[in-house]
Amino acid sequence: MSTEQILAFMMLGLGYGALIAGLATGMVVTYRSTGVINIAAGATAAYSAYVYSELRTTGTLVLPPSIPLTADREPLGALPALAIGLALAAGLGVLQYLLVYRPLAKAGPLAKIVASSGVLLTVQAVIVLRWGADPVAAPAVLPQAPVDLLGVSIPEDRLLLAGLVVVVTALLWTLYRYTRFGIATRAAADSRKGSVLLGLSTARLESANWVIASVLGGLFGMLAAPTTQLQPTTFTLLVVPVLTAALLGGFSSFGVTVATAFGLGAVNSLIALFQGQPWFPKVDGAPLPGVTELAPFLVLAVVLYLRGRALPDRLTAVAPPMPRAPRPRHVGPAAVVGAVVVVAALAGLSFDWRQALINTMLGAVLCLSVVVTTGFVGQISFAQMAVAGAAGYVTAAIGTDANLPFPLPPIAGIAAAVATSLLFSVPARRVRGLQLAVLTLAGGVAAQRFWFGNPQWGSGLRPANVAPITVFGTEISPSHSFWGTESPSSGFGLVVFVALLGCALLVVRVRRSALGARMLAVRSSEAAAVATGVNVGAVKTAAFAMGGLLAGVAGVLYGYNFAGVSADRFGPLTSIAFFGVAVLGGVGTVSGALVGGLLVSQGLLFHAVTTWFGIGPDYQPLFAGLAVILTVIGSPNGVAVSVADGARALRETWRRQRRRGVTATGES
Amino acid sequence: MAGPLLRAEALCLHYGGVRALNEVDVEITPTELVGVIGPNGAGKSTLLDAITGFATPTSGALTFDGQDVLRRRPSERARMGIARTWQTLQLFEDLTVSENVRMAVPRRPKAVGVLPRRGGERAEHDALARLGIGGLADRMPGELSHGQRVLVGIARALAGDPKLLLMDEPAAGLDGSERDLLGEILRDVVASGTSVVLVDHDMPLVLGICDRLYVLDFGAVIASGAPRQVRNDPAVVAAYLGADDPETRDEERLQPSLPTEGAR
Amino acid sequence: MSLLEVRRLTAGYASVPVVRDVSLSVERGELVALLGANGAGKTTTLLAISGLVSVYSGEIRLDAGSIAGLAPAQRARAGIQHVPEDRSLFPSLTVDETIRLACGARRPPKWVLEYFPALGELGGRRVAALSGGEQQMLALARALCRDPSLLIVDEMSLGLAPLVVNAFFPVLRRIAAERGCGVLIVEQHVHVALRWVDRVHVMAGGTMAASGTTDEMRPRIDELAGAYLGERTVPSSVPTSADNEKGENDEGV
Repeated sequence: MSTEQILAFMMLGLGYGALIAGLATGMVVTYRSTGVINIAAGATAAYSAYVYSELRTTGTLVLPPSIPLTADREPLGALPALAIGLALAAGLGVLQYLLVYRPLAKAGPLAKIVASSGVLLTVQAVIVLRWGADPVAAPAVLPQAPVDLLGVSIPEDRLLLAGLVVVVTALLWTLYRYTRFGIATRAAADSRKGSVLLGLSTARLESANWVIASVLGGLFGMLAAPTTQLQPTTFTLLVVPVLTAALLGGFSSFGVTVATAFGLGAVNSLIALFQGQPWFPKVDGAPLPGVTELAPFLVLAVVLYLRGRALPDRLTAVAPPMPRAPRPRHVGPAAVVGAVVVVAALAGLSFDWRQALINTMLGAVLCLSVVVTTGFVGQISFAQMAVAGAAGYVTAAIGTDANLPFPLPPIAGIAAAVATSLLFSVPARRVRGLQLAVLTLAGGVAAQRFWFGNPQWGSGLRPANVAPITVFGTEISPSHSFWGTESPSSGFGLVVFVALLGCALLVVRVRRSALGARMLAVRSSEAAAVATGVNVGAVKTAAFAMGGLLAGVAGVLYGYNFAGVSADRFGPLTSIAFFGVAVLGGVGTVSGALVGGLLVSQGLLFHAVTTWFGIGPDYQPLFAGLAVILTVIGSPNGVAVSVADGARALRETWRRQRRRGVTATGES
Repeated sequence: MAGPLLRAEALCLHYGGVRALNEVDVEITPTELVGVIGPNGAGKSTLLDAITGFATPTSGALTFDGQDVLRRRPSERARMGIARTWQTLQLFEDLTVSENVRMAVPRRPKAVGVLPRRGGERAEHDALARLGIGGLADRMPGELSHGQRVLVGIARALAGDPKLLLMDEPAAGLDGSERDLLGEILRDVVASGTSVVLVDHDMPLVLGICDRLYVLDFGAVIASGAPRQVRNDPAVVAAYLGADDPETRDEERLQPSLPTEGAR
Repeated sequence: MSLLEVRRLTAGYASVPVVRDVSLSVERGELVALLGANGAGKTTTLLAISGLVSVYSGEIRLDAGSIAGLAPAQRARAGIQHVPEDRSLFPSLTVDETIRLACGARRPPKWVLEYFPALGELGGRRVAALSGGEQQMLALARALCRDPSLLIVDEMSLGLAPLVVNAFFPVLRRIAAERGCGVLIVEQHVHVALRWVDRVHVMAGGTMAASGTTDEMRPRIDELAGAYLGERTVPSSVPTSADNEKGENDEGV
C-alpha cells in the first residue's frame, strides 16, 4: 500500500463526498429555514437520479405516470434530461413544503421528523415499485476519462464533482450572506415574529429554501450516482452520513458541513482500500463488514456526547406538543374480548389470514416498545429494529449454536435487547430530541451492517437459524405445535398472543404506575419534573430498558416465526417504518400500538386489501408512508385516540339529545 | 431555628455580556413571606432560577438550611425542600390533577418502580384540599381555567411539604377576586410554616401580603425592607414610574440627547 | 375619519378572551398612549391590531377599511408597523442587514437618519452586540424604514435607563407630527408618557377603563399611578363570607 494508493483512494472518495456534501448543505438549508430535519433527503435525491437514468436510457419521464418524451424509446440528451431532473427536484421541494411542512409549521419536532419519515417511506416505495430494489447502473453525466493529478490517475468526474461542490458552497455562502433573500432567511430563523411584523412573506421564503435544498440534492444525486450505485436503500440511507456532516456543521456552517462530508468520503474510500489489505480484520476469509457504516455513527456519538447540545435551540425552546397519552380504560373487558376473538380467529381462519394475524400481533409488540420510549418519555429512537435484532441474533446463537434448552435462548435474547437499548440511553441522558433521533438512526445502520451482517457475530448475508421452542418434548413453532400443525400453527399463534397480552398489560401497568406518571411528567416538562424531585436520568433509563424488553420480545418472536433471523429484517428503514406505523396508530396508548399492529406490512389490514381489492403487498409501504404523513398533519394523536375521541363525542351528542329539555350540565 | 433559611451572598450571574444578577444579597428567614418586585427584565426570574439550580451563578454563595447548595443539582435542592412554581405553570399536561400533585409527594426511598400508593394519597389529598380544589382531583389540567391551573401548580409545589416555596408571577392572568384568594392562600401557607418568595407585578397583592420586599432593577437589589418603606423609596418610584425629578423634567435639556448608552 | 379605529374588540389566545369590548382610535399625526397595570390587556390589544392574536368580535379599521381578513404580514405591508415588547430584532444580523431588509437599500433613507443620526455609525455591528438603547433605536428605525401609516410601540422603555427613554419620546412626537403617521404606544412610565402624548387610553382587567386627552387625564395622575403602585384602579370587592368564596373556588378560580 503506497502513498500514491492512499492518495488515489482519497481522491476517489471525492465523488461520494460530493454527494454527501450536496445533500448535507440542503439539509442545513431546510433546517435553518423551517426547522425540519429532512431525513427523506436521500430518497428524494435518489428519485431525481432514477428519473434522469430513465430519461437517458428510454426517454421516458416517470412522474410516477410514465410519459414517453421521445419516439421509439430513444434516449434523451444529457442536458435536457438534467434540466428535467432539476425541475422535478424543485417541484418535489415545493410540494413537500406546501403539502407537508407548512401545515406543520407550529408542530413539534417529533411531528416534523415523523412527517419526514413518511415522505421517505413514500418516495422510497415509489422508487421500488417503479424500478425495483436491485442496483441499477447509472448513466454517466460527467466525463470519466482518467486524469493524472499528483502522480495518481483518477476519473475526471471526481475532480469535477469536488470542484462543483466548492463552487456551489461558495454560491450558497454568498447567497445567504449578501442577498436580501439570504438576509431575510436568516432573519426569519432568528425571529419569525419579527419578520412577519416587518411584512416579509415567510411562506415564499420557506418554499424558496426548500427548492434550493431539493435542487441541490437532485443535482448531486444525478451527477454522483455513477460514482456510487443507484439502489433505493443505499441511496436513502445516505441520510446518515449526510446528517453526520450537517450536525458537525451545527446545522449552520456550510464550510464545516462540506469539509466533514469530504472527510467522510475519503474515509469511506480508504476503508475500501484497507479492506483489501492483509492486515485488515477478516471474518470467514472476507474483510470485516460494516466498518463503513460504523464510521459516521462513532463520529456522531463522540461529537454529540462531547458537545452535549449541538443543535441550535431554534425549536426545542418551545415545549413540543406530543400526542396525547390518556390513561388506559376498560382493560379487563378488552383483554377478555381480545382473547376470545383471537382464539376464535386462530381456530377458524385459513392459513393466510392466520399468518397475517400473527404478523399483526408481532407488529403490535414492537409498536408497544415505541409507545414506551417515544410515547411516554418523548425520546425519539430510530433503532428499535436494531434492538429487536439483538434479541433475535442472541436467541439464534444461544439456541442453535450453543444448543441450550428453552427458555434460556429467549431470556438471553431479551436481556441482550435490554442491554442494547440501555446503550442507546447513555447518550439520551445528554442528547435530546432530534439529535437522539439522528444518533439512533446511525446506530441502527451500524448495528445492521456491523453486527447482524457480520458472518461471525451475525449471519452475514444468509439468515441464522432459530431453533424452535421445545417444551416437554413438544415443539411449538409455526410448523409444529400442540394445536394445529398446518403452518402457521394455531398453537404458535396462541403463544404470540399470550406474549402480546403480557406486553400490553405490562405497558398498561406502567402507564398507571408512579413510574409511568414520572415518564409522562418528564415528557411534559423536564424542568418541572426536576423541580418536583424526579430523577429524570433514571426515568429515561427505565423507559429505554422497558422499550428494550418489549422490542426484545418482538425480536425473539420474529425469530421463531420465521425460524431464522436475517440482517435485512432488522434494518433502519424497517425501524423508521415501524416508528411511522406506531405514530399512525397512536404513540401514546396501548390501543394505538394495537392499531399500529393492524397496519404493519403483511398485517391484517394489508392482507385484507390484497385479498379483497387485489392490490399487491408491494403497495403497503406506499400506503403506509402516505398514511403517516396524513396522520401527522390531520390527527396528530394517532388513529386510536382520534377514534376514541370521536366515539366519546358521538356518545355525548347522543346523550345530550336524549336529555334535551332537562338541564344542560356537563358531568365531571 | 436561629439562622436564616436561605442566604444568597453576592450572587452574580452573567451570560453573553448581560449581567442578569449583580452582587445580589438575599436572606429569607423561616416562616416569612418575601416579595421580589422590579420592572420587567430586572432579574427576578433569574434569581429564582439561581436559587432552584436551573441557572448557575457565575460567582457568589448560596446556603439553604445551613448547607452550601450552590453546586447541588436542581432535583437535590427540590428534595431538600426548595419548591417552585413557574409563570408558564409547567403542569404535567398528560397527568390528572391528583397525579400532578402526587409527583411531588416524597417517595419512600425503597420504592423504585412500584408505587407506594397509600402514603402518597394522603399528602396529595391534603395539598388539594388546602387550596380548595379537591373537587378537581380527577380532571386533566387542560380542562381547567387559568385560575384553577395556577392553584394546581401551587398544590404541586406544596405537596412535597417544602421549607421554601418560590413563586414566579402566580397572579399573572388572574382577576381581582382570584388575586385576593391567592393572597389568602399564601398567607395561609406561610402560617403553616413554609417560607414563600413571591415574584409578582401585582403591586396591591405584593404590598398587601408580604412581610418584606426586595426591589430588583438591572440585576441588582436597589431597595429592601417593609412594604411601606419600600413603597416610598425614591429609587423604587423612579424605577417604576420613570424618573420624575426636576432634573429629568427639564425637557429642553433632553430634547437633543440621543441614546448612545444602553442599560442592561 | 380616524387612521385607526378599533371598535368593541374582543380578542385573546386559544378561545380565552383576554381583552373584552375595547374601543380606541388613533388619528393621523397623533401620539396616543395605552396605559394600565401589568396584565390589563394592553399588549394583547396591540397584537390583535397587528394580527398576531385572534379576534373574536369587533372591528379593526385602518384608513376606514377593515383589516380583519389580512394576515399579519399583509397588515404590515398595508402600513402597520409594530415594535413588540421583545423588539423581535434579528440578533445574528448586522445593523446594515436589518436596515436593508426593511427598506431594500443598504443605507437607511435620509429622513430616518434625521430622527436617529446615531444609526449611521452602527453600520456593520451585529445586532446582538448592541446596547439596549441602540437595539430599541434600531427596532424603531427598522419599523420607520417601512414608512408606516401607523406605528405601534410596545413598552419602549423596557429595560432602558430613564435618560435613554426620555430621548426617544421627542423623536416619536416629531415622527407623528412630521410624517403624519399615527403612533400608538404602551408605556409603563406614566409620568413620562403623560408629558409627551396627545391622548391616553387606560385599560384595566381587559377592558377600557378611561379615555381622554392628556390635559383631561393629567389631574387624575395619582389615580392612574395607583394602577402601578397602590390600590387597584377598579376596586374589586373582597368576598367576606368564607362559604361564598368556597363556592367560587371550585368554579371560578
